Amino acid sequence: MPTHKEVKLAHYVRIVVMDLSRLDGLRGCGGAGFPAAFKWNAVRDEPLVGTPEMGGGKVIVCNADEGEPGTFKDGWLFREQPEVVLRGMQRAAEFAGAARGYVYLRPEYVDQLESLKTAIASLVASGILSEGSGALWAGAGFAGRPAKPHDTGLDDVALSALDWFVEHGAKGLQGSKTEHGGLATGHAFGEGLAFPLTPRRSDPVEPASETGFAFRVDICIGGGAYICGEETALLESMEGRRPQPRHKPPYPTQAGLWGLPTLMNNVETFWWAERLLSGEFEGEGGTHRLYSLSGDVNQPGVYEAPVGITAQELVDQFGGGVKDGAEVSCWIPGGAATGVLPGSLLSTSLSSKGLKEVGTAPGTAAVVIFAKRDPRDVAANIMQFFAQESCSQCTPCRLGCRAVASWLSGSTAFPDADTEERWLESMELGSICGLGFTAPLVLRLWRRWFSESGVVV
Amino acid sequence: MNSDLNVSFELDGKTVEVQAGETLLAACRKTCTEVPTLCHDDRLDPYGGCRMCLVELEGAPRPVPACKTTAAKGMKVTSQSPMLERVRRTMAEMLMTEHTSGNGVQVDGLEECAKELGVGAMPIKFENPRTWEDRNRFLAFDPGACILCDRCVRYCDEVMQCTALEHVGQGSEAFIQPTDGASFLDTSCELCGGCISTCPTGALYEKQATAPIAETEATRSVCTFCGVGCVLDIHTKDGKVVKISSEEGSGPNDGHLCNKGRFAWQFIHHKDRLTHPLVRNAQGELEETTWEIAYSRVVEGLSAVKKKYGADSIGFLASSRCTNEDVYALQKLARSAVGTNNVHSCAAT
Repeated sequence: MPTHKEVKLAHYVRIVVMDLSRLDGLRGCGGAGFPAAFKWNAVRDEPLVGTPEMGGGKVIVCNADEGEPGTFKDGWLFREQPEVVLRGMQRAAEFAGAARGYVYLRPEYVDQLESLKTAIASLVASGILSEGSGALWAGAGFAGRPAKPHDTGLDDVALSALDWFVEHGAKGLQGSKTEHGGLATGHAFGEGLAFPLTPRRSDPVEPASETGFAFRVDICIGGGAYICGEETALLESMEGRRPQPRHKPPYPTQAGLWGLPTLMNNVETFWWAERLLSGEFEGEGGTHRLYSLSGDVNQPGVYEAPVGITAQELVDQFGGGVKDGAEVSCWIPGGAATGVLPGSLLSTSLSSKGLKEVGTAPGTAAVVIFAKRDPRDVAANIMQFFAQESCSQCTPCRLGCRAVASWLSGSTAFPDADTEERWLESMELGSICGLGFTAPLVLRLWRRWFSESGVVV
Repeated sequence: MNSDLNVSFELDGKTVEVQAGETLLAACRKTCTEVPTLCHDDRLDPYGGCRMCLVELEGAPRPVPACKTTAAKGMKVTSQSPMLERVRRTMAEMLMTEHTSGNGVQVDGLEECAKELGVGAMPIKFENPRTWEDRNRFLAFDPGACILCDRCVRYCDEVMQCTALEHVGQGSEAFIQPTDGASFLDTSCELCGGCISTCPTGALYEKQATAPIAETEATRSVCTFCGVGCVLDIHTKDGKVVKISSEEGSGPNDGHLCNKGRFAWQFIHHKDRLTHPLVRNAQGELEETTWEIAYSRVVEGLSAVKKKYGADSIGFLASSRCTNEDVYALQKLARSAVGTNNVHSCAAT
């Protein structure tokens, strides 16, 4: 168990010295796979800016925007085990010396909002979180200025792109369709339910009764766009602006929410951190992940499985095999951004190394299986989704995604291979954030594994 | 210069010194290193959206936008390389593919830039069906020519602080519009036309401009609407004014103008405009005359008043459109020629 030694920083802000070696192997589960402990240490090492009473201090943000198509593990976690995630945040706060925490929740997660509020209330009652936790406010989206939390103007845009995800995604899962991830459908809370738009920066934080440590967790309802899951776009949304990613550096660990050092992790990352640091999970960090398995499998769902597992094993051992015993035409290894692979590669290990060999990455560990779907349709739909979800800030992502989408869907073509390569390269090198960097992967994977007729090369 | 306030770094193999806080773009410009930009305006905060000014920075995983990167000690920056040239050309090509030519009353910086880089539109179809109408008399917007660089929105926010423009939507559905989609007349817009002045492609332009900018001749002048002395460029064709603009970096106004300076020029060629002095004839009707006669009439009238009622029965009010020099001359006239201290400028109130 970690050694606990408390250091008082300012008034009631303290840090707790703990051994993070258990987090060594843990990589962020939100898609980019950044080492978790690195962020934790970086935020702890930042100097304290102001005090929490004055709206300063350090901040913990839990990224629960979960927009990656095919991914629904965070939604599952917040419905089933919100307390573990919140305790993980609290542990991070103790480690980094933060007094405020925020959960940036995907607006479609209506059920999860309820379970999250219940969990926060119960942790306040048991003296783990500060009094007053659980306040709600709304982040900005793309609808205009200022953000309108009940605006549903994005419905058509969002649903036209990937309706097949709803049709072919995790149909059998409990809960609403919106759990499939990826589709920004605006706020599902309906008209008339108003949240304050003012950032809750200076709400009072008092030490919690049991721990004596001040840590207050509030909930920010997300802006309802895919890009809100990008960490700096998320911060912009929380601050009430258009969710356009920021230029980095500075990184959020240096200057994040309101310019304060900000530790932002995915829901699942906090969940793993808590399980690892509390000793509940005895294995090494990063050896297991939560897989969101969906598509044409008999038992879609969220499964905890070892990271080295192959897609075939995941489907057979956890997913109950492919529906009707059909042959898999193609599959997505880790959410839409990781592209489409042919069915013949199902025996690929879902580790970073295994997927790197076939040209992609583990992403959010969202495996989507397609039995009959034409791989080109799948790839085209992904690119249409990106073209519509690009924040429109930078040229290569805004126009590059549109061009690739229009090529894959057959309506227009790049004039020659050189042009195509230059456009893809410019997206990879010239975009501001990860959406633009990684979008060309979909076409590159297609080039590598499928011929134009959709037959595996 | 205090050397503590300077930063030296390496640009294309040469050591360059700039003031602390200056961007790589500023450094490139100081050293005459050509870096194209579209979304940058020195009067606005850097945006880094068009990606034309990407430069290589040693240690950075990808090229960085020069406009958005502050120079720091010891940086090693490369502004010209085959890769950068390829990427810049591709960015221009992407924008040209989306862009439709405007009506030419503004300079199209994108087309100029693309021409310089030797690229044009690709035969990739981007649908851009949006049109935009507005009932105001001055500002027109052609969404097809817009490249979403946000300069107009940022100008409105940062310079005018009007927030009358917004960038809404995302991806292929993103566009610029007056806030909440209202007419400019129903927003907080002051019709200063600053958005036109900063627009790099001519997507925003003057409704009343009648000739393409290429066919006009510019004459530098000073605005007479008030005493600030804003520098203007008066564009004429065939001896008639067709448009007024102001160049960034010039005069006390740095290219900013108000709605009067930019748009109120139709009076110049209006049929009702007085072009000669008028005096009343024996029948009491106004008729054209010479300045000599008009002035002598004024002198006669004022002298008669002074003789009958004394000098302090006369007062001089200067228009706020007068310059300091004009007002000085007026008070000189009042004190020396008429002999009264009754002088006032309406700019004082």
